[in-house]
Amino acid sequence: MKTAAERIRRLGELFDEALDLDPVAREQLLARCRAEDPSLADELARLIERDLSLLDSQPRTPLGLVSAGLDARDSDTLQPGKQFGVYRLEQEIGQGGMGRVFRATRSGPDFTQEVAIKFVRRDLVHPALLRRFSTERAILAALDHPGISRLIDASTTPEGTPYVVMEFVRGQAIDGWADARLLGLDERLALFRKVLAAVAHAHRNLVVHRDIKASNVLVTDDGEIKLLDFGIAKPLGRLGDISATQTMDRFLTPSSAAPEQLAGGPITVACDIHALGMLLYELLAGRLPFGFANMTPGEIEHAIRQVPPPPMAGRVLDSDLALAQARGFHHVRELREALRGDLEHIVQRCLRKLPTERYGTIDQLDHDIDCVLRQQPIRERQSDRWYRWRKFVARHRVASALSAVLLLTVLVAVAAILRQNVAITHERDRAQRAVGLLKNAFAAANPTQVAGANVTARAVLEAARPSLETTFDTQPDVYAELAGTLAEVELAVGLSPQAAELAERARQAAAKAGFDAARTGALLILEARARISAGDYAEAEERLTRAAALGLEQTPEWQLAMGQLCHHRSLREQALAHLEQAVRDTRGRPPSDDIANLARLQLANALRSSERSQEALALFDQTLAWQSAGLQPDHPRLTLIRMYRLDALRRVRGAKATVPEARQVVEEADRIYGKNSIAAATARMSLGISLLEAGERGEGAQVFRESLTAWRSAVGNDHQNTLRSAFNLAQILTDLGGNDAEAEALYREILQRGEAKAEETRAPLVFWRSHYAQFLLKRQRAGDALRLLLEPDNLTRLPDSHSSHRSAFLAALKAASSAAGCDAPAPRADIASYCTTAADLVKSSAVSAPGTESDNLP
Amino acid sequence: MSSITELLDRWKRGDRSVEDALATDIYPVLRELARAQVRRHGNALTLRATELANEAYERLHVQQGVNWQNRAHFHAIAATLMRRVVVDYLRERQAEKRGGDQLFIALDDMNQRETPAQGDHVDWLAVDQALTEFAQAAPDAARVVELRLFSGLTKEEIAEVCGSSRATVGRQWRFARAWLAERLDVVPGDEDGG
Repeated sequence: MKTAAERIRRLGELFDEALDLDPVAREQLLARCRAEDPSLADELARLIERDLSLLDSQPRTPLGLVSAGLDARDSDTLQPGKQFGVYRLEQEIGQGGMGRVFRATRSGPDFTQEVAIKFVRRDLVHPALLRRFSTERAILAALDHPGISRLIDASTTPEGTPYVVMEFVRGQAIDGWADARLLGLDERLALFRKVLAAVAHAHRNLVVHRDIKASNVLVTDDGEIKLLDFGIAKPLGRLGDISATQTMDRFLTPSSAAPEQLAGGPITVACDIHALGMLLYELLAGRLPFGFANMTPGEIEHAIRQVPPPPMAGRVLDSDLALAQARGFHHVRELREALRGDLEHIVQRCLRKLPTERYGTIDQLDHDIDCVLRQQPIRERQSDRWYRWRKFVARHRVASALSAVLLLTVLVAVAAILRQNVAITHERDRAQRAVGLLKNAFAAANPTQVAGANVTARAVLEAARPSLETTFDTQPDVYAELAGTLAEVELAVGLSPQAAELAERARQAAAKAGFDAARTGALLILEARARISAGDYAEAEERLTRAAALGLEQTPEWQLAMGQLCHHRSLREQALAHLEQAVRDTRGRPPSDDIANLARLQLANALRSSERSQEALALFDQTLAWQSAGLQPDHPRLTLIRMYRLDALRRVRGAKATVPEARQVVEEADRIYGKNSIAAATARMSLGISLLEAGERGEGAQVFRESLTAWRSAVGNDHQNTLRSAFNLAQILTDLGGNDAEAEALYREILQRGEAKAEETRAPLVFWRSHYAQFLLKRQRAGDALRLLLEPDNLTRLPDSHSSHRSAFLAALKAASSAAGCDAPAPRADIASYCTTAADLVKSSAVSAPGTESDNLP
Repeated sequence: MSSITELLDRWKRGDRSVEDALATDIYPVLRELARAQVRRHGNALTLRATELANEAYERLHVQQGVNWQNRAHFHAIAATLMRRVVVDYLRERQAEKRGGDQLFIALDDMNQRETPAQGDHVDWLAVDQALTEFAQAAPDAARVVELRLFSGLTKEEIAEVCGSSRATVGRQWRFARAWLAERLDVVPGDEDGG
């Protein structure tokens, strides 16, 4: 008699043996076994039967036990009718390995929007990646293309389930749509090109889809395509150091993964090209290259990584008449014939195992398809030069994602290419490509276009400079173009002095390279804008004069810059005149035009400063309506305009009436740009002012605290806006009372930082010291106040200070010297010398006039 | 936590005597995470082994800097412990409530359905018991089952951890699965066709 364990072991051996046998041989085995031990044979037969039924049954989980019990979903909380935040779940429209998808409605103050919400299974999400995703979602949210279903929101439910909200699309998967309409191959190619256009747009913004497949490409009833899930595979794509196979098991549709994705290699545009090749294959031949449905994950991985895809014609069977007819052919043979040749070549090139051997860009792929449609032969082989460039791109993972490291790599590599090119002038086109690439990279990092990347962009820009400089002597034209772009971005992220200096260098290079008047003038205007922003008004004016001499005076760009300059110099009437002209001359431009938009916002701002808040508000409203017409209701740019509008709104309608709108803008800014973005910081300042004016001083102070935190995080502790925001908070806290320690710490911090970086921050140190002195005076510390006011640094700066700051200084000084006892017949010894200096200063400045500049908010 | 790193080094070099000590260090972490997870779900019994394992990994590796050789390394150790956490937890629950087994629907009932409905539960105690019995006859195959059920490792990773091949693991899994299913009399499905 066998023990239970022996019996199991014996069963195991027999089972193992049976696995390798065909059904007939298996029966023979069972028969032999039955002769020896009938009950054991019965048990073996049952086990084999179990095994086979387990193999056949489709996707239930291992043992039927595990996932059902352990991976129970957050089922109770997610059902139609459930409301959370601004969303209301309407209908469950999908369920998959990744989670569940609902159609939902989002209600805004004046719109209702249909959205799709994807709830992601929590165990599939790596917390760290999810956090990083929150900074990248602004980039995705700004991915504005009619062919891309936009990311609207990404967050976590109160229960902790991450979700992403996307634009809801009514449509059918591209393969089904094409089959249902019996589209011929040419029509399918035309449809596919629309997909390419959308993907190319994303790639230009450094976003890779990562999971392109037929079910992610919908076609609407009017024949327009929409790509779903753009970029969201990324935060969900890799869990720490989990192997690629694991990743594949969990997230990716194996059939849409590129070989290098399975191998854990870099995710680049080449992955999308591969997936597009799969999609095109399926769209044309009606099948994927491999019969994935009947393969194990291991076999799928092997096929994708090792097995060359069979020719499309080979995947069409003799019995596939229906398939051929759905493509407008009468015979299978005709379809096979049509699939050979250039189309086959294109598809195979997309599906190469090595990323470097595929098309390098979507544009190239599109070009070849265009050739097929126009019945021109495609280029059999790209030039060797282009091939090497593609290799470079793949090697450096260009456009794989937006990150500092990545952009830095691009910059350094571009500079390296440019250096190598010195001797090979005919390779200049390659450099031009590099320039284009770089510009696109910057466009994606430019926070006025997409926010949330401020810090990253700054880090990149600062790191980019040295490698850029190496091209100044050798290739001035390239330098001028790159430096101009770089300066533009620096200006946008608030690095004004750096931008001014770089724009000047760009201009010098342009002169060396012999740029024409228009391009030189544009650089002059750019430099002027940077100088204005940095406070060098005289320099700015000189540049604008020179640009005017080159014939650019009548361009909206020049008028805009001149208007800004006048505005900063408090030349209100002239500012308005220039800005009005800029607005007039950009009237025909589309809402997406930066200059047109900026001109309107600047004019509205100037109107507001000229106490014409009614008109300012009207212009803001008009700009908002104009932009809304071309943008989604919650586009980031609309939030920015609403943010600038708050000030005018407050003046026209009053603080109380503005608070609710300001709260909404803060909420939107947090959602779109992130809580620690420039936008969120600025919006909070507006909200804070409204709250203070409305008498909500406690909450106002709190909002200013949050604003300061955001500034610190967005632009750093030493930036002028951070310092000014800190000064404002210190004053608010002083007025509020009860926060002396916090207020004093702020005063000390801004003075210390301001002194260290006085030139860069244009810190009004005299003004700040005067206010800190008043703070000290009120707290009976007249000696400290006096010493502070008479610091050598303060006295050095005094003569160049704005007159209003000098008045504030003198008022503080008089009060301090009298409170310190200077008026007494014999002042205390330790302050006697201060008293003398103070008396001299007061006497000599008896004629100082009160100034006008009091607006200290950045 | 440096002691964990040290123990791991020894374990890695083949010293199996440190397993108990390791368990003593890691078990509380897993248990705490399991309790937190149950609390998060309003005390509904939704232990998710994979999620737990990942959370534990994150906590020990990322937060405390324990130097796992790799993720598989961690999961290989944690799988047994995870099984204990699940079983201990359920025993506790059952002791708390008389008739605590009503928390689970009988595995037989699952036969009736096409796919497991949300909220279905598994009689893990029965699974544990069957697995223990099975392990006496086929320890290697039982280990494969344990790793499949209580870790997030793939078949390839399991093969690596067990020092075996993918094919062998696949065979062991098929046998163990059939035997357990027979033993527990369920008709489960399979995710990947084995």
